[in-house]
Amino acid sequence: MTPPLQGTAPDRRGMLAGALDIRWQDLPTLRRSVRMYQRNLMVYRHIWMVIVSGFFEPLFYLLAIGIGVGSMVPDINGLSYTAFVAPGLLASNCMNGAVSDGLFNIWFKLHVQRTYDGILATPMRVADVAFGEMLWALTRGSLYSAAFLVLVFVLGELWGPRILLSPSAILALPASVLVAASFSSMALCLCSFVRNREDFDKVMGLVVVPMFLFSGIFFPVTQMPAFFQAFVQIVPLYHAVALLRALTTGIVDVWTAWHIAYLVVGGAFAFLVAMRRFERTLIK
Amino acid sequence: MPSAAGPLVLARNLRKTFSSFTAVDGIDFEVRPGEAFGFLGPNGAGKTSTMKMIACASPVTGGELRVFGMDPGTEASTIKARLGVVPQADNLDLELTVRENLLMYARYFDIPSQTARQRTEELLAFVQLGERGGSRVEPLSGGMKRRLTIARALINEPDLILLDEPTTGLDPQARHLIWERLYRLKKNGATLLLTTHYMDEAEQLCDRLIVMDKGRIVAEGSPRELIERYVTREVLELRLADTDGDVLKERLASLATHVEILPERIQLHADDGEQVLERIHALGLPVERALVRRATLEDVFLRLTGRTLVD
Amino acid sequence: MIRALRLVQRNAMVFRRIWAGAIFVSFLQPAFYLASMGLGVGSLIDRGGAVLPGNVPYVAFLAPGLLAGTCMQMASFESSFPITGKMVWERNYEAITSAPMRIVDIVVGELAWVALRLLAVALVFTGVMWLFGAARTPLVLLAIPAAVLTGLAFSAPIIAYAATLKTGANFNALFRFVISPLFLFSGVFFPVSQLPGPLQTAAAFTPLFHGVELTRGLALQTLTWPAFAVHTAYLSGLLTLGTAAAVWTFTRKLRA
Repeated sequence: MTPPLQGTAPDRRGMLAGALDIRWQDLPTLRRSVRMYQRNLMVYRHIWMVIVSGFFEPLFYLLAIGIGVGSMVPDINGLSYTAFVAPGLLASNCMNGAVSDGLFNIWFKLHVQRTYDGILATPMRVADVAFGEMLWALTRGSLYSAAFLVLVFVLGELWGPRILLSPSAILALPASVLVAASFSSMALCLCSFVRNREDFDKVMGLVVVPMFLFSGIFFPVTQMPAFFQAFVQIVPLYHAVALLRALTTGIVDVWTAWHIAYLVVGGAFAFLVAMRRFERTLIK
Repeated sequence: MPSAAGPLVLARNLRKTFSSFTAVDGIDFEVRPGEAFGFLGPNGAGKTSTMKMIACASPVTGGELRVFGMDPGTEASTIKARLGVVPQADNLDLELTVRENLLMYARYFDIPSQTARQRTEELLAFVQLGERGGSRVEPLSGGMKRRLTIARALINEPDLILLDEPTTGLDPQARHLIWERLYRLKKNGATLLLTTHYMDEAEQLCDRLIVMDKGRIVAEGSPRELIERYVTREVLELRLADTDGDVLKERLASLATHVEILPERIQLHADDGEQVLERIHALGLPVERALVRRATLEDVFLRLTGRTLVD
Repeated sequence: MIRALRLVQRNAMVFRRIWAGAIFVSFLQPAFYLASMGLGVGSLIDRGGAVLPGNVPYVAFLAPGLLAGTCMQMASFESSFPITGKMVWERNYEAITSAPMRIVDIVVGELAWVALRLLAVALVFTGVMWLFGAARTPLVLLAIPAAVLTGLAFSAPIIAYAATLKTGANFNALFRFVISPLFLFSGVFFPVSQLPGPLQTAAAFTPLFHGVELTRGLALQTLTWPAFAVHTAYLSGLLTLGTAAAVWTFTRKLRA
């Protein structure tokens, strides 16, 4: 008798159907996923400086681009450039927390150190490992977001132009948790496709950097030619930026719901695909 | 000591196929509680694939497999909770220290922290890594890493311990230390299941063996039984100045139970090697070098398959 | 010095495997930045009427600064992890010193290799600049040696530092707290005159500031002779001191 989650028979039903064919008991359990979390806490107790230093990058960008360059840029639709850029940097910060650290780190553990092989010899299952890693990436992203929001609030009040312009800005915190979760899942999914070091550089150079530069963080996407404007609709960072900007500036409209939906559905789908692919890699 | 309880592992016509080839081609065996059971065979024989199926790390493609009476396809987590696995390649957590590796592993089994800490210290002492508890894993020697992996495999007090090539690649001192520890485990009643391509390891540790080649079982029994059944008690190894193979074989055939002509030497299987050597001298054959030794599992394997265990 | 070339040859052999990706990225990266910051943000700035040094559109202001900054980043990256790697894990240098190579040959060889990479990147970058209309006259080619010098000025001291390390972990701090802030605040994206007074003064002591001023000044022909002398002297001095330091640390590591 053969179990449904076989790795050996080719899955002709396609990725979507395959992704949805999950038995109830194969979904991650919180209790076990938390073990991965505990493990990461243990690891980072040794290298906590890495986490602390991660706070500074968005701050630097905010000061350099938001204020330094911003002093040369006129208001955009009534928004000061600083208030325009800040939520975008918040979104990209969530992305960096998930991608730059999470992606490579997980891939390294998976293919080089083979750490997960050892963990899977215990009652932990692939779903628990994947979900646990995602929870950790999510926590880091959220921590960075919270710190950034506080920083941005203080900066705005004490110094220059107000950056958080509406009470709805408080919703930017749960929203950035959602963004972090979505990006963590997507990073996990991407991780399952990467085969070697060179692939990584390609991903960083061809996906992450362009996303960072063209998703509406530094200038409105409406400035780009129509084709690119249409294309950017499928870019997750675009939705994250738009969502957070809507919340910090208070300019919320019907599109905001669309951004949320994209992040939720995209993230969930990416997670399912990641889980299936990891199952296939680790259990042959 | 076998007990009245059923076998811990039961395999009937077990098969493992990948898209391009068959690794395990229909084997039957059972592992009884309290024994040290071995899979002996060269690389590619299917030993690791079999171990992985038992460890629920690889799906079964054909036949039946029961571990603790349960099906690895459906009850993997329950089975794994009672297994201890020492894999062929170390997969220790390089981002944690030695002690943390054990502590965290205990958590994966949901062992409460208090108990985990206690067992960690005991196990570190058992594998003689007590002084290295706080050090990182990377700088440890191969032997130390393997000992740590063994300690890790014992953290949940498993009913069955799987060891895949436990001493491959280690220096003799490390190997002997590990054998000694495994022997002690055995004496305390643990059930061991190990694979190896080292005949000395199989002879030293195993109560019963299965000899595998190309996915099939070619022989089974205790080491002594296998030697008695397939080869004689002693082997005389000869190097003759004149090496005309077929002629030699005829002349020597009457002297021994079995003659094996190898590229660089000749083996004569007989119960009394010295006697055979005397008769060879008496016949006036030009002996360059001669050695009488006990027969080993290597000879058994050579007899059964015509190949050596180690390439 | 022929021996130094051997090191370049060796690195080139290793590089052969990944050159396609590297060329690709060194073309795309500047293109992306010039498109998004240079044109995207640039059009907002130009529309707003801000006046930039040299009276040029933002993209022409940004491009040479970005060239210097990119050379700094690439030089820093090439001079950090790979050097420590070769010293500690791969033990290349141990192997090489068994051959008739002197320490100074090794250091100069590594620098020569970095210079070669920087030159390639700078050439491609200048090509991209021209494509984006950020290159006003052929004299922009003068920016290339300036940018390479900037990169080397970072490379030498970092190589010296890299030789002393046992692990690559320290570099994260270097990149996060030195390289990254320098990249953002040395005048690449906005004139340092925008910085508060004391920070402006502080910036004048940092290497990338000089690199950016030199590169941009040459590209836009806004550089005065005294300024040229100051910037070049600073960068060359840093390069020389760094090389000496590297020879010193290498000697300690390999001869001890």
